[in-house]
Amino acid sequence: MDLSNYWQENKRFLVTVACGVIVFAILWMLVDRYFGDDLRRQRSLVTTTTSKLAKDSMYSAVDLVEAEKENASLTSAVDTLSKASAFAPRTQFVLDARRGSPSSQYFAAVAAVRENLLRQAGRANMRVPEDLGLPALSPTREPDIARYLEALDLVDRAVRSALATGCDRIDKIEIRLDPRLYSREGVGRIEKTRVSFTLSGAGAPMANFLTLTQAAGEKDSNGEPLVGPLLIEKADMVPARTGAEATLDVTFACARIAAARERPDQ
Amino acid sequence: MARTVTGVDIGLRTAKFLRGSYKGNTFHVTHFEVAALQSKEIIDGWNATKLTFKPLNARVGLTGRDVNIRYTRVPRVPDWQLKNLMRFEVAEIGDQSGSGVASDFNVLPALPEIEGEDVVLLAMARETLLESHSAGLAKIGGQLDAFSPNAVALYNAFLRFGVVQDEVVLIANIGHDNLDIVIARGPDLLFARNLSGGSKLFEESIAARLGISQDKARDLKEAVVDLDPQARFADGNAEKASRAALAGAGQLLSLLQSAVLFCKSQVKITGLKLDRVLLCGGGAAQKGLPKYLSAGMSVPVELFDAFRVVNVDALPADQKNELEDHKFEAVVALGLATMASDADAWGVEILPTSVKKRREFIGGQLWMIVAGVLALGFLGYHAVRTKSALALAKSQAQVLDAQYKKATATHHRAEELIAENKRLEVDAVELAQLKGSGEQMARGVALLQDYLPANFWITRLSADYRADPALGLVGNDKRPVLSIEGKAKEGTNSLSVSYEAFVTSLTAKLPPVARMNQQLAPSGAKFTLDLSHFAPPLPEATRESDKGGK
Repeated sequence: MDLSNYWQENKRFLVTVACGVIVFAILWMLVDRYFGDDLRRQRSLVTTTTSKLAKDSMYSAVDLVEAEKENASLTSAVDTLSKASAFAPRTQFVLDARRGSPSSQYFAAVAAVRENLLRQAGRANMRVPEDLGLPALSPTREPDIARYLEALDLVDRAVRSALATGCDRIDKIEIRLDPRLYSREGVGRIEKTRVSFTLSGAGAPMANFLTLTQAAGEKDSNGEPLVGPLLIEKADMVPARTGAEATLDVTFACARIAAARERPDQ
Repeated sequence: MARTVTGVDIGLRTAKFLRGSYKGNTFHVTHFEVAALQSKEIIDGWNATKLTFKPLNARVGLTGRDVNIRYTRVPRVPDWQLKNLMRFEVAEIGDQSGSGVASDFNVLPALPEIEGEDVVLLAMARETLLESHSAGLAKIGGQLDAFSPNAVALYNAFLRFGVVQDEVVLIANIGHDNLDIVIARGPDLLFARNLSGGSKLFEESIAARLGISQDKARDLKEAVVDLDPQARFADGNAEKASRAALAGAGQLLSLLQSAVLFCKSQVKITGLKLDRVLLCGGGAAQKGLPKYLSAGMSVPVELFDAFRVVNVDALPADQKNELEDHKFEAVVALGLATMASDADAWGVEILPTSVKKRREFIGGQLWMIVAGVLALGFLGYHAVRTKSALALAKSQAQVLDAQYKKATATHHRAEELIAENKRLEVDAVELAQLKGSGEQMARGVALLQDYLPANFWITRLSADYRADPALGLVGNDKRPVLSIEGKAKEGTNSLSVSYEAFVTSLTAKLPPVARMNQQLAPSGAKFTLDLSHFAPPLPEATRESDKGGK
């Protein structure tokens, strides 16, 4: 039987089957379009995500817990160290709006300290620079005044230590604000106002002076420390060029420490 | 595979039901029943019939005025064209008759006298006749297989149970009202037809000549009539009745002769010559008829006993006896059954339009509908399955996405913490160094005051942030370092011994993290000592070797 005869004899059947196949294909494609495409996409997503979960190198929850523990201990350590390292000025060296303008408070404090120290140094026959390391021109900006007042507090404590240990001479005192204070980058977490002393005289009192600045020492009537401990950034004690005396160059740091969460670079 | 079928030959005077199937090359009869009728219409015969078995797969024979068999010579064309031609032919005849006509056709076996053409036998029957039969059959619990002309059933009976050689044979089934004729050449059918007029012709002629009733004439026909031209009659009545019946016999002879002539004209075989005549049907039992017809047609005329090669072992004894008594009448029923049982049989199957449509629906459209429903069902299943798979995939994707987001968040948080920890570590180190530089110096001074030998003195004491590879502070790693320089002068103890004791005392008092680098000049008069509490810890291996060295 040739195809022509087959077609003539089964025309209706073939047309029906062809229509059925076309309808089936259309319906199949509709199902595929509405569900199949989405199914393939979702399966691809599942495969991709599974692969990423398996292959991507990521910190696990255990790592996170470890990091959190480490963070807690570090934060605690930093807080402890911050409290221990930060310079805590005494009340009279802290600007207080109730006591007048910053300048007047500055002048009052400088005058009081100078008078007191020079008088005690005179009695102890110890030479102390009259300027106490303060700038010739008084600071006018409130932040500078606040920092110089803190440095003055440190000078007061250091000079008292020198007096207590019997040092012969304080040749020079120099106060330097943190050079980064007004820089664009800022001072960072630790701002250091450096106070340098140059002492000369017998070596033993100066060694005792260094030791005394690191001790907690006595406290005044307000419970605030009269001397140390003070931060020593560097020190150098060498024999004097002549005689049996020695020279001590020591730089103290008056540190202001920003809280860990308030870092200027964050 | 052969089916078990029932051949049904029902007329106005008798109804024959023969059930059986082909096994091997033998037809096995399983049921047979014959019922005598006095019907005026076909449906009356069905109504009067009571069977002991259900005539399932019934092939019902058709004959009479409502059945028409035609011959058409057509060019040899494909089947589909032939179907179209026949459809047109039937439609034309149906239009002319004015009533519904059911039909079927078959191509006669190829005739050598006709080249390039086929002769198609087209059988048609009125729907009303088929409806009567269908209703009757349904009433007795039967199930229709198809209708076939009695003449075609007769040919099938002859083909299987009568053909002995390649001769032209006329087979006539003489019923009460109708005559079914087949002319076959060897196994090939040449002509089949049904005509009005059967044994009723004898009764009518007797009744007319003798002036008696139809019933009385039938009694005389069955009791005393002998159509043998050389018959010797017992009495005058027998002779009168027999001579009266000769008129009917002559009509019957004319019908047979006209059938032969009609065959020649229809099939266009002008040289056709009969070799033999076989008779069957109720009318064939008329005494002396074969001899009468033989004399008239000049060929041997015999009775056709088709049941000689039919297996009747499965028949109950009473049915077997009944079949033996009616074996000439049951030939058409046998032909119908054999034709229906053998799928390869040459046949014509007429179906009422409603049945035909139903069977076409079941055989074709229903399967298409079922296939369509299955396809739609499969699509539905596919859609539901895909949708559920999609829901599952979405759920998985969401879970994984949440996992990934959580892992990423954990990773980022850990990264941030690690970075912050690094900064905090730097801060802590810086703060510790800031705080510890002075403390380191104070402790150094205290140690010197405690342990420096009497003949040693310090020439330089300095504290600074600097790198010192000897203390493990390399590169730009500047940390608080306490440097001590000193001198000594010889006393009661050796300088080196005193110095060693001094260093040992210092080492013992220093914390484990502290590192110290000391040097004594070869003369023992000068020494330098650098120490730092802030040097990075020694690697484990170095520490172990240091311990070993000590």
